[in-house]
Amino acid sequence: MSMALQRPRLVEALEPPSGSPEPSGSPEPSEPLGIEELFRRHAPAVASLGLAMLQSVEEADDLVQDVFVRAWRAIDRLEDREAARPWLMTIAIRLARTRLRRRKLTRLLFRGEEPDFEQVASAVVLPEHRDMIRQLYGVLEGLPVELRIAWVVRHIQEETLQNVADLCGWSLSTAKRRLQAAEARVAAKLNAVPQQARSQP
Amino acid sequence: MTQQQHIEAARRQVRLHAWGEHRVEAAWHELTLRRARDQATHRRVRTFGGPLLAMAAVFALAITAWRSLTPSTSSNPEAAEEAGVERVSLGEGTDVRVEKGARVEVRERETDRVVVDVKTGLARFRVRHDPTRVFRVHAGDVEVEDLGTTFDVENKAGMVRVKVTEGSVKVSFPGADGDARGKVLLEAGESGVYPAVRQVTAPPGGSAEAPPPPSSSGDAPSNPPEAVATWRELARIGKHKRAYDLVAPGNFRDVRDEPGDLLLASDVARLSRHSKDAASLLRRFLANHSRDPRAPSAAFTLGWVLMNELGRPREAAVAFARAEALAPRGNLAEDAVARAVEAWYRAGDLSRAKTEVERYRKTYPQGRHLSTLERLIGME
Repeated sequence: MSMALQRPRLVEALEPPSGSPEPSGSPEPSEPLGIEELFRRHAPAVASLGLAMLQSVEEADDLVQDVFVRAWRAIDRLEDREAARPWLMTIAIRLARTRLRRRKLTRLLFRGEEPDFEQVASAVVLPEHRDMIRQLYGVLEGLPVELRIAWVVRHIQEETLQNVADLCGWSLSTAKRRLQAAEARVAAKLNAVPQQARSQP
Repeated sequence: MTQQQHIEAARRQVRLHAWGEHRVEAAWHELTLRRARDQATHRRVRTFGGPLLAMAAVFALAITAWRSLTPSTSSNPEAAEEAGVERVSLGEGTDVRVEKGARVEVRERETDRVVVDVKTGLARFRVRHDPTRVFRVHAGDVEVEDLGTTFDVENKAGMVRVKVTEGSVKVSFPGADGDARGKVLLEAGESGVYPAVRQVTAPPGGSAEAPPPPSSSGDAPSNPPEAVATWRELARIGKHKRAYDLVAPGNFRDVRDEPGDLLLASDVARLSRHSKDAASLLRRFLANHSRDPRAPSAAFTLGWVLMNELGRPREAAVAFARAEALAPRGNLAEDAVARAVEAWYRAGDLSRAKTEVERYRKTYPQGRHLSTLERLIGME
C-alpha cells in the first residue's frame, strides 16, 4: 500500500477553476468536479485506514463519511488532483486521532470497558489469528495515541517512514522517534502476552 | 508468535474487510444524503445574514405565525402562508418551522391531542414527547405520529416526504389499489416518500425503486410503493435489521430477480443475522446469474455463511469450490481453496481436506495459507 507521496498543494484563494467544464446533467452544477470519482477511487483506502486505526467497522464507516464531507467542502482548493490520496489520508489520520483521544478520555472518565475487537476479528479464518489480532490491538489500545498512529500507519498500512511523517504532519525525526518508541512498547508487551495466556485456564 | 505474525494477521484482517463495489455504492449514497442535509442547514443559516437580523426575523415571523396558526374559534381553521420561514410555537418545547410557500393548518390543539395539517410545502417539526398527548401531522392521506423527535414533512406534487432528524415517528400511508394502509417506523437519519393519496392505479412509469408487481403473481398483494423503496433505502445506509423487517414478511417477493437487488437483499439478511434467508438469496443469485462478475464473490459468501453461521461445512465446501471454479484466476480463488480445506476438515472428511491441501500446494506453492493448512491437517 505504499505510495509515492506528494504533499497536497492547496491554493490559497478560493478561486473557482476558470473555464472548468461542468458535467452535463449534473444535478448541482455548482458542485466541485470529481468528488464522486474521488470517493469511488479512494473511499476503500480510507476505510481500510480507518479500520486499521480504530478497529471498529462502524467507526471506520463513520470516519469515511467525515473525511469526505470535509473533502467535499475543500475540494475546490485542491490544486493537484493527483495529490488527492495523501490529502484524504491526512484528513483521515487527523480525524482518527480525534476519535482515539476521545475514546481514551471517555474510558478514563467513565471507566469504560475495553473495546471488543471480536466484531472485527471474527472474519479471520483461524482462531489463532483472532487471538493475535485481539492481543495486538489490546497492546495498541494501551499506547499513547500518537505512538499508536505511527505504528499503524507504518506497519499495517505499510507506508514508508517519510510517508508516515508527511501523512501525520510530523518532521521525519519526530516520526522516527515515535515509531521507535511504539515498536519497543509493542514488542515488549507482545512478548509478555503468551505467558499471560498460558496462565489462564 | 512473533510480532511479524501479529502484523500479518492484522493486515489480513484489514484486507478481508476491504470495501467492495457494493459497499462503496452504499457509502456514496449515504454521503450524498448527508451532504444534502448539511447544505439545507447551511442555506437556512445564510438566509438570515447575521445574528441580529436572524433574531428580528424569527421574532417577527413567530408573531405572524402565531396569529396564523393558532386555531380560531370558528369551524374553519386559519391557514398560514407566509413569504418567508416562520417558526410557530405550539407550546411546551414544541414548534414548527414553516418554509416559504408552505401552507399549514392546526386542526386540533387540545391538551391531549394536537393535529397539524401540512397542506402543501415543507414544515419542520420539533416536538417534545409527551406520553399523555397525541401529536399527529396529516399530509394528504399520510399520517405521521410523533414519538418525541425532530422531523420534516413535505407535501409536494402528490407525494409526501417524511425525514427524521432525531427520535422516531410512526408513518401511516395509503396502500395501493385498496390494500390495507402501510405503516412504518422511521428513526433518526431515515426518510421516506409516500403517496399523498390512495394509488388507484400504478404510479405513472413507476420508479426504479418501486416496480409494478410481476404479472405472474397477480394474486399476490402488491406492497405499497414506498415499502419497496424503503427496504433498499435502509439497506444502503446500513440499517439492515430494519430493512429485513420490511422485506422479509413478504417472503422477499419485492426483491427483483436482478444481480444487484439479490445481492443487496442477501446482505440485508446476512447482516441482520438471518443466515438461512441469506443463503437462500445467494443460491438464487447463483442459479440465475452465474455469469455475473460478482458470482464468485456470492459463492464465496455463501460458503462462509454455510460454514460459519449455519454449521453446514459439507455444503460450504461445495460453495467454496464453486467460487474457485467461477474465477480460477480471480483474487478470491486462493482463499476459496483454503476455505474448502477448512470446510472439509470441519465436516470430518480428512481425506478430502488433505486432497485439497495437496491441490493448494501445487497451485500456490508460495501460498500464504500453506503453513496454516498443513498445521490444520497435521493436527489430526
